[in-house]
Amino acid sequence: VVFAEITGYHRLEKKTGTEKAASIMNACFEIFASIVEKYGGSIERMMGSGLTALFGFPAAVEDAPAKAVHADIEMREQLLDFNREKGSPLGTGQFLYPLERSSIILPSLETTPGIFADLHLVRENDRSTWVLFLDQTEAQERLHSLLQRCNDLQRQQETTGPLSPEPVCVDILRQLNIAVFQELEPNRFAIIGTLPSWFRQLFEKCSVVDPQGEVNPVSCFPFLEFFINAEAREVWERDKRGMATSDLWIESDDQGNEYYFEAVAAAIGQKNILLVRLVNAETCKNRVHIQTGREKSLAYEKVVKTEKMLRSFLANMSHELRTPMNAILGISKMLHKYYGENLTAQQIEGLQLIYQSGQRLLKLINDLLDLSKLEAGKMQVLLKPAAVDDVIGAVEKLIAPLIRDKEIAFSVKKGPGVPLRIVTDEEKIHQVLLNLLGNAVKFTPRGEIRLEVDAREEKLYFEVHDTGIGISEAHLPYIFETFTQVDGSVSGEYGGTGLGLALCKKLLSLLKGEITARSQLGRGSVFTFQIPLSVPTDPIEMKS
Amino acid sequence: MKEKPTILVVDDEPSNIFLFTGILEKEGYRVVSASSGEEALNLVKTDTPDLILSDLLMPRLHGFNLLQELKYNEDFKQIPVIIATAVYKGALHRMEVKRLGAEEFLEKPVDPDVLVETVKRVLAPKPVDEGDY
Repeated sequence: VVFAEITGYHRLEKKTGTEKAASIMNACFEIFASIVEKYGGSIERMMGSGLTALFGFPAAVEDAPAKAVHADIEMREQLLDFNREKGSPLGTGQFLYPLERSSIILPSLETTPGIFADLHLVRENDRSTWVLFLDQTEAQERLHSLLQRCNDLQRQQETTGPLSPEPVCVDILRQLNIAVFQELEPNRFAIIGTLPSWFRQLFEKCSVVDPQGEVNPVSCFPFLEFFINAEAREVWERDKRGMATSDLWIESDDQGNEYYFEAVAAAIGQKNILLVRLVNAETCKNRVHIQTGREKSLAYEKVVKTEKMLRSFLANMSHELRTPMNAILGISKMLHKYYGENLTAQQIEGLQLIYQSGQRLLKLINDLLDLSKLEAGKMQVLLKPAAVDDVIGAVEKLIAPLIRDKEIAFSVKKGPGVPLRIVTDEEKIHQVLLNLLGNAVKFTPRGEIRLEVDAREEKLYFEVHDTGIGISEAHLPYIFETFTQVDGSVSGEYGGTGLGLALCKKLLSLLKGEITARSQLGRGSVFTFQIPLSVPTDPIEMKS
Repeated sequence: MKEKPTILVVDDEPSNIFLFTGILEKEGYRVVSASSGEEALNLVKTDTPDLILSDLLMPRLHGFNLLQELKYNEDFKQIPVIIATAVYKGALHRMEVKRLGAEEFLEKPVDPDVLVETVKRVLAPKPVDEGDY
């Protein structure tokens, strides 16, 4: 069984135009499928933005990246499920996510400029995952011939017995001019498969490889010392689902010809893999950082560090901001809960104020993190079947304590057409509803708040009605903008940060939904949002 | 089961240890603590707990690795583990730690009531072993 994914359509389209891109993707898919079939597999699912090209809905191309991300997460989930079933404590499939870094192999096809195809293959037990990543390409027959050669090679090898760890993968890597190493222990690497010819030519002092087929890459590639010990180590030991790419470096042969190299580190299964590849000189023209080989520079380290810092900034900020909140919220509640009877009313009130202020701060931190994640395109979407009643029930429960002290009647009205389940990211819908209902409570001193849920035209509609203070006509167009774009008087008047609604809008657009508002000053507001009953990521059958 | 179940709290942040220990002791558990995964592993060998409550991001052995070490070890793989981390909206982390064999995943800030409820549930004898996330 094979999970397959084709991505890279966008870049392809930019280069070649929609029509041609679609035909190239289609051709690649067929090659791809034929290889899979030859190894006795069948494609169970196709995923990725390439689908839009393959299965003829170019009009939806704009949606492609979001779709691909959804598909990717779903695929990962399935792989995890699979591994869990098999009872293997550590499975594969981790490196499939995140999408933008999903290619672990970056081959250039020898000297032909303009064709790049990345191919992953991982086989665990009897299930394989193939990912074909396409970049700009003008001649699909080149790709065809390459894959064909891999194929022939595999057939030859079947008679001589398989190579470890993964024969097909190794062959493809070798064809792609990549040297593959697996780390056995720090600075002891085993050579996987056969080294490409450039290795012997250019890395003379390493070409006398010891009898066990082991090598110390740092002595072969001094340039990589920092990369191996920092970036690669990070991937192997911590961020096992990521990958790291080194910067380019140059080696020259006896005649003074210059060759560009690049290394990629990835954790495949439980193996620490280092790939070193000869890079097409054409590719390098667009690359900024080129250093000469055997010459480590401080500038290089600085670049690596800065990139890494930026990448992990969000994750770190999130962690660092939230860690003290655990103590603030937890300890204030703990003291109240377990020592409350020994405290005076004033002390208890103080604890409650610490707790409530902490909650407000946490909400603000979370909103800010969400917004910056959304802005950076790093928000994960997790699509699953969700029971509509559960979604409604969960917010009802959270709203109840908020209106307890107010003269507000809260009701939920569910239309007859509402399905039992929808496929969406439940957490995000929950977040949006909570934001809207929270606002309604905040801006309705007394009166009525009503949540209406209805389904029509394959869409689920949520409406939050309130009889609150309302929003003036002048302000209404700006309420979904981020706080930076709002006139200060607006956020002042409404007493909020102005983050909530902007967040709602962005979250919904991730789920292919939309939000609108209408309001009358002094009479109340109605916020309406709709989401598709199912964000389209249904499996598409492979043509046979 | 022992009269007073022992819970090992693993966290590199002293305020978290203070909080979790404070709550769990009040709930009648015996609490021991470690400030790194490495320290936790050593402690498990001499003072095997009934439950482990661990952070993820720690120096000297990340929570993922601690989980792996425990679940690979015949003597310790039965100890239930609850992971509590300040990672925000860690749906993927949740899947990952469950896959690695953790019983529960909590996001910090952890509500004391939720912590107590979770610990009680995990320590309770299991009727059916069917808890797919």
